[in-house]
Amino acid sequence: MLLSLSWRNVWRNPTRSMVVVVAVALGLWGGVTTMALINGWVKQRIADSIQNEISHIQIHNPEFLLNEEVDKTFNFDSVAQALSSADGIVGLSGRLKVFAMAQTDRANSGLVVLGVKPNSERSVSGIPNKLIMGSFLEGDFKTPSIVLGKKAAEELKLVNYELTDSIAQKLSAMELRLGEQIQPLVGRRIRTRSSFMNALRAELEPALFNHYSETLADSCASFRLNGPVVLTFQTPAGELHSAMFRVRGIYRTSNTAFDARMAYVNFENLALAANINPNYVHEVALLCKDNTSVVSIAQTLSTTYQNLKVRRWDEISPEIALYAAFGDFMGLIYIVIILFALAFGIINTMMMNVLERYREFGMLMAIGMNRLRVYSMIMMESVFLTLTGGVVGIVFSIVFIKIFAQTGFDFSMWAEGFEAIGYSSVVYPDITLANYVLVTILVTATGVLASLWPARRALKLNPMQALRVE
Amino acid sequence: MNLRLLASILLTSVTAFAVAQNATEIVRKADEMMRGEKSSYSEITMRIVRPKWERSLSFKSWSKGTELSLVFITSPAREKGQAFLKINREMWSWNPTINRTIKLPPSMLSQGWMGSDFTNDDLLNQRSIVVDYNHSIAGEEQVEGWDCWRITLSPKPDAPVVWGKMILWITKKHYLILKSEYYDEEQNLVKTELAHQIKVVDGRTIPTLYELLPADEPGNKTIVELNTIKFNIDIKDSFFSLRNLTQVK
Repeated sequence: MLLSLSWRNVWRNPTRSMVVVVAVALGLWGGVTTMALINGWVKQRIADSIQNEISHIQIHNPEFLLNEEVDKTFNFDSVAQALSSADGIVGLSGRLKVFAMAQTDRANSGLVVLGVKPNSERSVSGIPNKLIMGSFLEGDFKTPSIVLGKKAAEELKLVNYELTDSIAQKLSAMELRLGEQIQPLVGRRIRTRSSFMNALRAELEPALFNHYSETLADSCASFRLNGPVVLTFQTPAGELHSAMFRVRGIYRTSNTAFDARMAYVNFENLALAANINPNYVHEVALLCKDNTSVVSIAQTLSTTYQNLKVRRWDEISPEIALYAAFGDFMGLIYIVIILFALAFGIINTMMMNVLERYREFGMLMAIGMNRLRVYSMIMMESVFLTLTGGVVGIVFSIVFIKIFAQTGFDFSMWAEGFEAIGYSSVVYPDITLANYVLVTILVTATGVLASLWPARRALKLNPMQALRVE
Repeated sequence: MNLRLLASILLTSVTAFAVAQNATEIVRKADEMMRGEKSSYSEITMRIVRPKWERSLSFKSWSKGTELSLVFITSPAREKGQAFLKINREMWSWNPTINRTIKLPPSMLSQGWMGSDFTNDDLLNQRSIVVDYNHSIAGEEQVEGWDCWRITLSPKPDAPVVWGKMILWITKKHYLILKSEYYDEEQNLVKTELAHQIKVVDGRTIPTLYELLPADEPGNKTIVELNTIKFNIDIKDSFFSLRNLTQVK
């Protein structure tokens, strides 16, 4: 009886109630969507970094972890047999990891070079599927192959800018004047982005230049496959050794810092050049069936291989594990702040409500409704008001999140900034049922809290005096 | 008549033979001229020219063999006091403003040294122009008034060099490299090194002004001038120590 009474009371002044409902709905829609974005973002970062960068479990010689010195290897055969038959492990790759100076004809850069066997690396890492040009390390060549990240290739100036006929034709189709003005550049090969821009600036009229130059530079960039890269690194004997490699492929992940640093070469080539026994490795990377089985597998492995250091992904890269916890927490903080602000709006509405209805409360009390009932009636009105807004907001955000979970939320305007810190620029929002439940509880609690003051006001009424209010 | 013809044929073939054999010899001598003495002390000014700015840097340098060297920066005031020590293949830097000695990691070695077109790698890792290349004399030309051989260097197969070709101009009189051009594998010019102002310093004839011109970036260059240079100075190995790195003046 009290429930339906409260529900009807909410809609006695529909405009006023709707204002609060809409405010709560919009606030929650924003809050929940933000929460889902942060959540989806972090999940993607974790998935990307496990898949491309660190895998689930890594095994090292404990001394290697101190300074990553080239002579701190361990015997691969001693672990490979047991690991490949172990339960829950789906991928296994033994790697050499060497710090090298890379030199090309136009630049130098420091790289971390991973010597991998292409087949086993494919079972662990997503990098072979992230190639934007060329192929991975398979295939026999006279000069050893190297696969570089996009950023590293740019830093080593392994990029050419060439306006091909097909691009020029597409441009003419897009905008005729652009196609005409660009003609003198067709077929010319330019070495650096800045001189390509200068050439464009010379040919194009300013408006067209401002509009198209960046896109043009991006689409004309092509990497010099087969370009020479000389790697200089230390051998276990302490000498510096140089070896020639040729670029076979360029990969790109969502983490620019990773792309600038990691290069892949064939295990045999690196072992030979660095004079390392090919049965020995610096690192074994494992991919498990799923994230949840990692802990128990790592546990078993570290008891089996006492002389080796077995580390889980959250130990290799604690900052990523931190983001995971942090992401959920951040979303909650947003929602609490939004609800706190909304609470004042609700208090205001409820207060107006109560002040208007002095006479009615006096009447109800006079005919025998006790104070507790009056109190709960007002509280329920407040909860109904907030919860209606909450439900509308949550329904909105469910729809919104469902749509963007399919299409992705594109931040590519700021892509460079995002990718520099390792985050993909297209975010797929993701939220768990538990989070919805939590949000609903928070909304209800806000309704209850916001009703405390107005309800107290109603309780203080003297029924006889209230009845006389006109 | 027949005899004279025979003689001329013989002579030309002999000279051709001698020349072909000499190309490697010439480069080897030039390489030795560049390395030369047991120890040296020099005061050097380096000017780094970019289209929009320019800066210059002066430093003192001590070296012994190819293994030991110490560099102390004397100007500009902001960088004064910084010192670099190289022992064999390793390099340290001393920075008085932070009061620390830092061992340069491989990634730092590949950055431009003090913002110039020279990399730390160039200073440490000079691949021998003698060992890694095949040499041939491509002609004779005058460079800045000096008679020079023009020698083409093509990398030996499997040699770990990134260049497709190098062309050196070496003076006939002193075996000095006055000009070197570096080409990539598609035979495009990448950079040119020039040497000027050949002088007799401390008993040796050497160029005292060097220029480095990257071909892709017109307007960029690095100029190195040797102000003072002394050879075969009396210097102990212990001079090249981490301890002295922080005390040298």
